[in-house]
Amino acid sequence: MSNNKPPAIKILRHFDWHRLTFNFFLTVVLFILLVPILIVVLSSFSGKEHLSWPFTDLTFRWYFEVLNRPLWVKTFINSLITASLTTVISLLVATPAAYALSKHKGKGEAGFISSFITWPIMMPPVIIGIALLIFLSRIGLRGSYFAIAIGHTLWAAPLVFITMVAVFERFNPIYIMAAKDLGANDIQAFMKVTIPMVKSGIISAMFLAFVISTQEFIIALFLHSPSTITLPVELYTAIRDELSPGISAISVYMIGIVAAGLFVIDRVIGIENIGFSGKG
Amino acid sequence: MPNFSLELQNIGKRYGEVVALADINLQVKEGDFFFLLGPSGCGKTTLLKIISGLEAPTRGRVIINGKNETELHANKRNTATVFQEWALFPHMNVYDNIAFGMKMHKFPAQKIKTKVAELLELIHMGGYHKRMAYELSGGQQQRVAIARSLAIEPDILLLDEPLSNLDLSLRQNMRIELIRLHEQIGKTFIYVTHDQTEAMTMGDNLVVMQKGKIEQVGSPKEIYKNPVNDYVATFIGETNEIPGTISELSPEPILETPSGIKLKVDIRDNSLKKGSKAVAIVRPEHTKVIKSDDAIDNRFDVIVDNVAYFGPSLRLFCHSANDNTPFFVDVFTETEMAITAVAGSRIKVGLEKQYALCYGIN
Amino acid sequence: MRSATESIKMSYPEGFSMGTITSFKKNYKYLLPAIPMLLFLIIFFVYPSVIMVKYSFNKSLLYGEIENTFTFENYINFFTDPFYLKVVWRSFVLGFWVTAITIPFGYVLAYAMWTSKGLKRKLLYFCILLPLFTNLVIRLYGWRILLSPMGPINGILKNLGFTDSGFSMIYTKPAVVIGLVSECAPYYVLILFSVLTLVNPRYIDAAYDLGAGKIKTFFQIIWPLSLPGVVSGGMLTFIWSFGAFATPTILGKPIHWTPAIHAERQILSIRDWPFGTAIGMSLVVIVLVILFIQSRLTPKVHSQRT
Ligand SMILES: Nc1ncnc2c1ncn2[C@@H]1O[C@H](COP(=O)(O)OP(=O)(O)OP(=O)(O)O)[C@@H](O)[C@H]1O
Ligand SMILES: [Mg+2]
Repeated sequence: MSNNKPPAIKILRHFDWHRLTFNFFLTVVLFILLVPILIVVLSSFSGKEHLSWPFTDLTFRWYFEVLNRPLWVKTFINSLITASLTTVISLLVATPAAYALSKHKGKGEAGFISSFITWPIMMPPVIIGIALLIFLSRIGLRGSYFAIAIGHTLWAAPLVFITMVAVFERFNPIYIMAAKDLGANDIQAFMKVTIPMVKSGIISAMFLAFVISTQEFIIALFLHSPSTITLPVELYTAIRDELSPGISAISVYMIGIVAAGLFVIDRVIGIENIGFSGKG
Repeated sequence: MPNFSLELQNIGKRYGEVVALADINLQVKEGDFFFLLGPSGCGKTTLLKIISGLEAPTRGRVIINGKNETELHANKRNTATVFQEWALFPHMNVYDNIAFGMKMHKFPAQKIKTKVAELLELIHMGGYHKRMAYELSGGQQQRVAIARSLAIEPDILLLDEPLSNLDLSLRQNMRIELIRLHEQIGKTFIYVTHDQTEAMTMGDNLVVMQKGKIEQVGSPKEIYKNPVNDYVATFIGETNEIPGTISELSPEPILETPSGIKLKVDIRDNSLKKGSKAVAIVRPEHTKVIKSDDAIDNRFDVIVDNVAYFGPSLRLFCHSANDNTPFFVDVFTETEMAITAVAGSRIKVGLEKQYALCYGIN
Repeated sequence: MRSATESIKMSYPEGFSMGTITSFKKNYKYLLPAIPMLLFLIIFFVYPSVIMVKYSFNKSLLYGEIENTFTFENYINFFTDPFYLKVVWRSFVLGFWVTAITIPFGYVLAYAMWTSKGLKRKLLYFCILLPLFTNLVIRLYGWRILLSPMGPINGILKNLGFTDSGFSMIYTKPAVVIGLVSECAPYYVLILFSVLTLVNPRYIDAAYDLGAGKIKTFFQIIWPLSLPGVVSGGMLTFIWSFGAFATPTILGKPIHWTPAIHAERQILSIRDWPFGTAIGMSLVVIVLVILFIQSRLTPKVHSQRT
């Protein structure tokens, strides 16, 4: 290549088309992911009763106003109750299973059981909702908090399981040996050594289960009753009729729960270690 | 009959197809500082786990203080292990680490307190009880691990290569510490290592293992002087190996090397016949650099390749003048020989026949 | 006491001794802690699924009454009704578009994550996980605001003078497609990213070193190595779009409804449980067939996942 080309062409040659295209695609995909959330946050500050562009008369008042709407407060409390139940059940069933299976990964039956445990997340939630609706109606549990929590556990427990398997795999069994050697029995070793050492993993799994349950609405749509209706289900009906800054403010509270949960998980085990990438 | 702290009878251990231990028989006297020595993967850790109860043997019996404890789980046996990685509980401080075993054994609270203080004094770490494990240096963690194991007052302390994670000078200090501790406590210590100097300098008795089997049991001196086979001889101490064929058995056994040198040797292997392949094992300190007229059983010429200084002695790395068999000789730095031996020079070495230990080769 | 008998066993030749049987029995004890989880799944997942399958073979009478027979009627009705066949076909087309858009765009994001480090990587993670965990209804609500006739996009277009009355964007197929892309992309990106992290970045250096250009390096080295992630992530995207529930109801018209929505209608509104469950089961079967074909066509890819 000759050196005495005019500078203008040189600049053009150095202009990185690949990078430009790449960044264009990146911007578009980040836009598609984030803009819906950003617009909800922005619209919650709008001073007008009904949402129309441009958002003007910016105000915080909706954030206080919605706290006085009994229906929303009630659904919010319902969501918290369901999420707490889901968290407890998921952790209680999934943690021991993850503990048992993390040490025997290679074996045939362990591999099969692990994939069986993760099956429910492959199912369309509508199917889980229908199946549980039929079953729980039969045994008279339909509509209870417990019913919704069971549905959410089918979704959350496999994810807690995946996260905890990763946590236990990183846990060196030599500490259990040391504890037993010093006189601890199986249960003492688990309670006094294993659990405290994987505490951070458990906290993350807790937040994972909690956040999933506060956000889920398809299974809850099938299983709720008027007294146990959760916030996402109520939102699902509300947003089809109205676009209002009040609804936006409620949504921002929910987004806040997610962001706070992610922040805690990042502090405790690092955001990269969430078991979600094992999904699929 | 002496009191045995530990007896192992016909211990075997298999992991699926892998035979980790095959028919181990062993007796360890009370209060002994006993060493298990062998190369990596020979089954030392497995044997320790079987003694402590962390693994069950596939066959055989473990007898501790005269009682058959084969079926007893680790938490019920009065042994304590210092692990290779120390395994201090990272979520506990020094005090809680040391107290852990005593709490599990339900010692009274007051006793736990005084005992921890006592142990911290013993390991020269008084005042460290609030530190977390990760706030300690390697040597300190190692000592806390020992104190934690001693806290439950075990009859047998098991140490699995406890010094292998330390640097050389710290390791030497810790060896002295361990000998002191052993003397002070007077309990049986079983110590696993693949470092033969450790075993030779610290142990009362030792076993040499290979591929899940015991090759030889004895005091360091016995094993050094009378190794049962060429494996033990080469594993313990440093050796020259001279391969050849037995060309004569009587009146005097002779080993002839491929290049035709005839060595008078001491036969250590009864299976050797005329014509069998064999190897003569020679310790470097038993060879002498000689003048041609010295009276000695064997003499041969070597060419010096390299000279290494080891303080009081010199090591001459040579090869045989007839063929290329490597050979090394130790001489004192101050002697005339040491001064004349330079790289490239041809020297004569001599060897009394009782120092040429001859074993068969399989 | 085990020793005497054990040693006799051990003295038999290796391999077929009775020791194998003892170890066989012991091998399953470690599964004990998994029992609560397995029981939970059997009671609340397997058993309800079985009941659901059973319902789909029952006959529905008037007013939600159910006759306990065994009939293929519901399935025959579903698969012979041109209306429902069209529903299935339109869902296929929908899944195709969503997948075709998600694959290249998601790839760029996964690639950006793969090549970034430290804070930038954390930020990108956050950009994926925040929408992934945030209630889908809220995200769809965001799209409704954005796309509505009075919304920001139309507002800006009006200001720029492109239109006076505003475009109708909501309740259209593109709206449903873009909603589904934003729903599926986070999962696709995470799956692809986890495959990309298995690719040694040194390959890129090596390829540059051998004189390959950027584009060439990408298509000859990185793309083939990441293909398993693209295939399984793309498959997931397709299946989820095909089985989507919320997005078509909120951003689309009844003409965009998927089998999942029809199943929900039959169950919750029309109260024809046998027919609703039959639609649901058909959906599951179609999904399983797709997964099966995929694993047949690309066995290598299949084994690399999990
Ligand atoms: N849990 C296990 N499963 C299968 N094989 C094992 C297991 N533990 C040990 N082994 C095998 O048993 C043999 C002995 O292992 P062991 O750990 O006792 O060796 P070691 O002498 O302590 O070695 P090192 O000096 O390297 O620590 C090795 O071949 C090892 O691969
Ligand atoms: Mg070892």
